[in-house]
Amino acid sequence: MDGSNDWASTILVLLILGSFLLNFTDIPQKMQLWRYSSYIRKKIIQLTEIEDESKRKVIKYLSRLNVENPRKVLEGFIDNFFMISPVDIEPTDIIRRMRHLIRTRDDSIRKYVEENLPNATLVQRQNAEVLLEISSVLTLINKIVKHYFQLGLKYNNWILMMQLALELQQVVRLAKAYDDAMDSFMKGTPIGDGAGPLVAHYLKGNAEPVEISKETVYYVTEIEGRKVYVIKAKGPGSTVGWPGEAVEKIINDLGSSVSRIITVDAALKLESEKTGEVAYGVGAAIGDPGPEKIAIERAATKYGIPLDAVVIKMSNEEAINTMTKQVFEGVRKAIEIVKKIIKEKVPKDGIAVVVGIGNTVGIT
Amino acid sequence: MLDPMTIVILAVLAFIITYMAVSAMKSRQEPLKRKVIVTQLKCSNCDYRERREFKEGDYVGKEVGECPKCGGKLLVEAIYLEEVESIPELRSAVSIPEPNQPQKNTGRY
Ligand SMILES: [Zn+2]
Repeated sequence: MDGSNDWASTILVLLILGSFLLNFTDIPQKMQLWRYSSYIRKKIIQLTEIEDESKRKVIKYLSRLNVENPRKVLEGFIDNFFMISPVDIEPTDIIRRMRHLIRTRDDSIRKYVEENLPNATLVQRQNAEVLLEISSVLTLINKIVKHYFQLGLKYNNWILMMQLALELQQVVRLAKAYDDAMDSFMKGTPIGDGAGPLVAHYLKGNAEPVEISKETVYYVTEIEGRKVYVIKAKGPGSTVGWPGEAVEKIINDLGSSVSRIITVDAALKLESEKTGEVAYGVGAAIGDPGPEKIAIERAATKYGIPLDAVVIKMSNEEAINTMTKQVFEGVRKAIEIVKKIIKEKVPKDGIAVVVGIGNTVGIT
Repeated sequence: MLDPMTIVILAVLAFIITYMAVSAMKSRQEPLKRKVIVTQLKCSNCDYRERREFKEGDYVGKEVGECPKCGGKLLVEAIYLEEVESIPELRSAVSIPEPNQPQKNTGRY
């Protein structure tokens, strides 16, 4: 009996002491800071491994293309080629300025790759561009995580540390997806984001391509008895082309004889939605920073042409990795929906414009 | 009456056993399927279709040879990632599922 009494009083004293420490000191926060920071440190090691892995992949790809000093080419790319957003407190002209900046950046990247890979084919160069960009993004992600981690440590900001730790799982998953995506680009398989161009590929039938904008082509074909202009990026290299400018040019040529513009694109699914679900609505289905999308909207508005959107749903990871069977089945559904729209909404003598938006890697 | 120390030890033991049991169950649920990139070929002339593993250099729309049935152009129709039980299963799977029925559209565009 005596022994258990002793135990009980010891536990009581410990409880009181413990609750005092928990309630009236900063010790719990310090402990949390310590726990979260050790968790973040582990995740940073993981991110660094992913970053190194991506660099190895780029170097492997470049040395396969007989580049003399692949490491130098990679190091010359990472951290450079950033783009400063145009001034937005004075919005006049912002789209034109933004388009100018985006194209200048694209051109300088293309030039950099051209200079360093003079013997590669266009497709190889386009895929190398994407590999370099992904590696650069992974480096940036790692840097940003380290930045907040070190800030949190420096100022004992345990809330910042906690936020970072809670976000990190998602960040690491995204980084992993980007790293996996590199394999798809190295092999040249279609990716989930290629759903739009794949729909365009099936709709065009045997029509011959005509180049209309940079890395963008159109086909003239007949679907359900209607004349249809199909626009997509020029494959099978990795590019999204300039679909907005292409639509603008075609609409300006054809004017109000166009009865319908239909954009088809991959869309991010919500967690509860299934991959490969297809939905339709109104508007320009395109996820660019602005210039291409506004070009489509303006062209449609100018002549009062109805604008339809068909989207194929998938997750972030699926969009940048080799196309899954579910997405492919979504593509088949999307084709039927586009055909149905053409059949029901375009008069027999009318013209429809179908735009397959997305990266056309692995798809001609 | 039980010694408090015994109770603590029993509790810790119970926790460890549950933890091990749960993690063992989780690892048993791992799927045995593997993912393969499939290249689907189709004749441009007739209905002949064929499936094989993806080879580097394949892209959708590429001409890869002649149709063994009619001698027409054999084109890559699709490339996608699929879960299969084993590679032989892929080789023997010549039958291609037909496209899904179009979704019933009751609403307006
Ligand atoms: Zn044939």
